[in-house]
Amino acid sequence: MPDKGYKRLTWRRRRATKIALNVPRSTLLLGEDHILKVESSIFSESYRRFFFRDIESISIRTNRRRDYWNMFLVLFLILLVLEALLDTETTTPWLVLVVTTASVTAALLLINNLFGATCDVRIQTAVQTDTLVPLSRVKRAERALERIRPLIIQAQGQFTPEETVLRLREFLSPAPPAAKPDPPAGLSAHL
Amino acid sequence: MISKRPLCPECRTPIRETEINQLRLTRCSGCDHYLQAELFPAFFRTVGTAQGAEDILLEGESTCFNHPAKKAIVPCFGCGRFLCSLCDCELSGKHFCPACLETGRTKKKIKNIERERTRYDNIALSLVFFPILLFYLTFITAPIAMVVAVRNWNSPPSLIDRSRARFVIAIIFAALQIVGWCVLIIALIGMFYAR
Repeated sequence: MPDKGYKRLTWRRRRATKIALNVPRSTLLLGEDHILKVESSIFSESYRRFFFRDIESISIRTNRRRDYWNMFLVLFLILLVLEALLDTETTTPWLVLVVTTASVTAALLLINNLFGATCDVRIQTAVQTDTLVPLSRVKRAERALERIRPLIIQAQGQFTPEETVLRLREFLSPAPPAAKPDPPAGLSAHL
Repeated sequence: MISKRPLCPECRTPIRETEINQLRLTRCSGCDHYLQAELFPAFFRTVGTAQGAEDILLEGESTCFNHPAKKAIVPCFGCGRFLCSLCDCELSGKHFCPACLETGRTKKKIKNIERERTRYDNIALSLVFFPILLFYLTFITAPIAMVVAVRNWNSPPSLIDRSRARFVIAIIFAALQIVGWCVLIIALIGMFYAR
């Protein structure tokens, strides 16, 4: 159960990579006025806060992680199926093991596709950009954003899409060059 | 300095204005992945110049504790000292002096600036279970685990999991290991004297 004053934004703790076990697990909690990202290893945990009034942008971008896992699981499944079908000298316990592993692999493949596309979610403030690792699936990210968005709007206000376009054009348009001051009268006489 | 033009996080192609705040995924023209970008008013906020502290104009006006020539504008929430605008550190609506802010961070009294915590419950649990692989080590690690668990019982727990279940488990198993070693030692002494 999280600390008083915090609610879980994600139920999952996730490592940035599944291969290296020493990479900390990441969890997101929702505070009164900020999002708390907790990175926990065995003996310590570190915190990073993103206050709602400071959040400038949040972006979701799909990636190929699901496709890579699909490729790996399909190849593994094909190997297991071939082993079960072609190995005529196999013993019953080995066959049971192969079939069980194939079933588990098929289930993982199904789950990987049921959960939907994978993505990276980045949050930007004036001084940092960070990846919200636990929001690794598009559906999960969109659900989390639906909870965060009203809180950010409450803290900062809201622009309509049209107002955002106008503001962006003003913001990015180059400033007019500053007018050069006229030289003093005495100086031009010397030149 | 963070780039102020909205860009695709991966291929750095500028995101079209018409695709911002649409609340749906649109295809990035640079990398062909789907992208949803939301900008908030803070993106357009410009950073103003910091306000300098005012000099005192009238005798009898409250002055800053650290800058006696500057006007105090707010008392510190932690220690009550008067602060000028230079010394004022605002955090979640409260005003602190730099010393209280630093003390709050190091002694973990102000939660909102705490950057890390040590997981003493996991340390105690690891001292109890990992040395079981090399049985004799538990003679040393069991008492250490007990001390760690008891001494840090009131330390701030993890923000994710507040329960002290790990401490309880560590204390129980450490106690069992200590009792086991005591029984073993008594049995060995008994056998030695029985000869």
